[in-house]
Amino acid sequence: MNRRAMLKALALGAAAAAAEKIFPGVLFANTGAATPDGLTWKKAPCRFCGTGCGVLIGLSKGRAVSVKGDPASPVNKGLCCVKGYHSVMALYGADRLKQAYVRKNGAMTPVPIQEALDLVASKLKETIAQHGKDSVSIYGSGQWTIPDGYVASKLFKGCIGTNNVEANARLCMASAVTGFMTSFGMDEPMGCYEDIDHADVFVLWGNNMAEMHPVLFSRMLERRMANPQIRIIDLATRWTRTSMAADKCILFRPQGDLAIANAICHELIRRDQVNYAFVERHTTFRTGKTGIGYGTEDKFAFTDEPKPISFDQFAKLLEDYAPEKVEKLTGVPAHEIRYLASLFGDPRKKIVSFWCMGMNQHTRGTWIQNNVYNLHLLTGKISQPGNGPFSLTGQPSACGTVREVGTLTNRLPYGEVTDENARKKAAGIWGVPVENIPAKPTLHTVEMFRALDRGDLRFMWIQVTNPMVTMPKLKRYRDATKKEGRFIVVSDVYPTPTTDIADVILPSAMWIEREGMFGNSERRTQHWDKMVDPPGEAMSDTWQLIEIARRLGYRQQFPWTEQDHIREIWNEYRKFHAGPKHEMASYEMLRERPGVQWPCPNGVETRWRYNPKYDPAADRERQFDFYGKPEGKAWIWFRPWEAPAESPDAEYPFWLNTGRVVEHWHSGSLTRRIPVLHRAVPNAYAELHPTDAKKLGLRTGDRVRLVSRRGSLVLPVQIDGRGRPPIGMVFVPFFDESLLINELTLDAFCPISKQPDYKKCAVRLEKA
Amino acid sequence: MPVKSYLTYPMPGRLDEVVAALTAIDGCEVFPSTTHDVLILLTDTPTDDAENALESALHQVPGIQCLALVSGAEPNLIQIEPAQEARA
Repeated sequence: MNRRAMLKALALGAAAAAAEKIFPGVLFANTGAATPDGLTWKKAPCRFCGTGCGVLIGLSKGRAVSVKGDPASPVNKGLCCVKGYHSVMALYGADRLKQAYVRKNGAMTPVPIQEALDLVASKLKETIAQHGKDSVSIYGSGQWTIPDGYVASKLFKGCIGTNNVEANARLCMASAVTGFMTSFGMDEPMGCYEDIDHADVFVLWGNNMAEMHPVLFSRMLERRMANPQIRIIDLATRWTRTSMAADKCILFRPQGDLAIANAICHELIRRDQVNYAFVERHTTFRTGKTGIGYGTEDKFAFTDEPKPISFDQFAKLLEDYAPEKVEKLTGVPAHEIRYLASLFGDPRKKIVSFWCMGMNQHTRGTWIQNNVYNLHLLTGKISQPGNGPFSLTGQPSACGTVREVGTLTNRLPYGEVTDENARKKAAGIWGVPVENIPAKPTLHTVEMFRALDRGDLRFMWIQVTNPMVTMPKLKRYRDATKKEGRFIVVSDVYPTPTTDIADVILPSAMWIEREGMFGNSERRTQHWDKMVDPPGEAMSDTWQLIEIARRLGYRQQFPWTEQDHIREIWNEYRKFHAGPKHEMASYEMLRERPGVQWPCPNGVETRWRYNPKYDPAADRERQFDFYGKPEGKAWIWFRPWEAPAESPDAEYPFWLNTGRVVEHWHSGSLTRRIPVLHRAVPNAYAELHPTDAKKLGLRTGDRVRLVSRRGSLVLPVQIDGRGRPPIGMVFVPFFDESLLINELTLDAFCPISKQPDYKKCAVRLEKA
Repeated sequence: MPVKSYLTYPMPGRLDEVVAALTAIDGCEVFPSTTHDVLILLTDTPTDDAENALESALHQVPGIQCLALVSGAEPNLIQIEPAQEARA
């Protein structure tokens, strides 16, 4: 068998194995048997999105040469999306960073990595001595492995003594965190992907799953194919591939989701379809501050004031959201709102809500999460197989590293920095004085870059993220990095616009070039071994941080060897989550299995939290126990509709909506180096409605200038490509570093989550 | 130029039509299930341009509800061309 024939046999065998997981007993004609020939296969989670697909990496002669979906993984059951399949090719781009660089006389000069690490440590010490410990920061991401984020938090919060630790997940899922925390008192979904196998109705809230979570979307379609009564409702602001496959696509005006959710609640009450027994036993009602602002000014501060209200008061507040009123506000016909209410209100139907960036990147991001939880709480459709609200994440370890390790300014690996007990626990495990850990949060992501601009912050270490592509209102923050007296360290695997502004570049080992763990959207922690050597002097982000910690004098807190450090870090980190509500799996269990879901007390995974049938931490005397909140009751919030920070007007008459495409991972620094993906979508484009295009005299391929109050950009036009925005909206993907759409976006954010809104600002269009 | 395999879900009642359409496309081998309404599509293209053309052709095939990429391999991975063009 030649190499090509062997690879075909492998591909065929993988597909047959995947099908067997989905259709037990399925048989295919003439498939033969796959015969691995000389390849060693090892398990890993996929490098890309938050779905956390299990993949098997084919290794040959010290290189990763093939990928297939892992049939043993309950996440993807052998499936793989286009990014996952090509993922190993991202290791081998020709311009891979293999050595460190230091800026000397304005030019980046290659140096041995140990010399670069010496410089980073001395600059850290010097900056702290001159400007104080809050003048230094680290900015990581949801692509940090769990050990990366853990040692970053330990070094900066525990040893240096600053809460200037943030991650790009602030731009990605912070609203999901504050949503869960305000409604349930604990973060992360109560359900799991297995909900897909039980639900009758899927409501996608501004979530283009077909492109952003294609494997889960395939699972949903497979469920519907076997059960034609299943309904998929795409509630969106733009027609996408998801809309094409859905049973119904309901388009609403940007920000209208807040009002639509309230209108459904109003209808449920009017139709007497509330599950009163559930509501009475397991919920209480709250309202908070209104007119809460948008955070566009520096040093913006906001604290909510929850006030108890009664069910009757809640119902009264919803009277402003009768379907006919909401139709005028959102453009969604009243009968469609009643249809949605009929789905939620039907006690025979199990229903799952999915969302991702549409609800998270929202100036009222926390509120819309609360409003969607309200639908599930009013109907009691939560914490059971096939029933629940489910926030999908964008990055492979946004949950595992950022939310669970707590690499945000306000968080510790267990609890908030404001909580004395949480600080004591951290200090005890970390072996540092409790006084080291400041009791107040400092700078969230947008404010961190503003502080760099103002000069309050002087040193920033950026690992595994590309903020010079992804920050909103980009020009201000790019200019900030170039100011006199700022020192920027960037750890990455390829040159990017962020390495362009660095004073030191540290080459990183990527994914399977080191051992690590990610945590996915469904509370599943996944481990992988080091499989291939990193190129040149590239070093894992974890070990870079340990090297710096030791240079700063913290060897006692970072005593591990290169051989055992990941296991030892995991064992130390696990201590934070001991107990039935958050117990993490043992290192040995993680190495054996294709992922383990937490809480995992006594080695048993918890599929559905807060339901004592499935969750040993829940009070068995109760039907449901939302134990994150006092009295075990979830909070139903009244959150009104409020206008976006910026809306189209006479001067800037179009909405600008930004997002992703299936082929590219975030800022494109990895996927644009995979030839097949790069060629499939080589550049960003402006997607227009045909009517708008005709008015402007534009056709596909023509160039259009987008102008906002913050900047302008010329892009090629695309009409009726893979998506169609409504009249009055333009959509632009953000992956392209040569066409930076974030020059135009606005740095307005949700006052509670501090997550920016990349989906709504105003632009005008000019034929270029 | 990669070898790929897909699980292919036809729309209800259109399995035979989809099998016929895919079989007629160069670079495609089709393995219909003998027990379920699903098929495995195996693709093998000689160049990247051919791969892009094939992907476009697959998206034009009527009667397909979903193409779920499962696996495959890049036979010439070791000769992947430089990707500096990705940078502006």
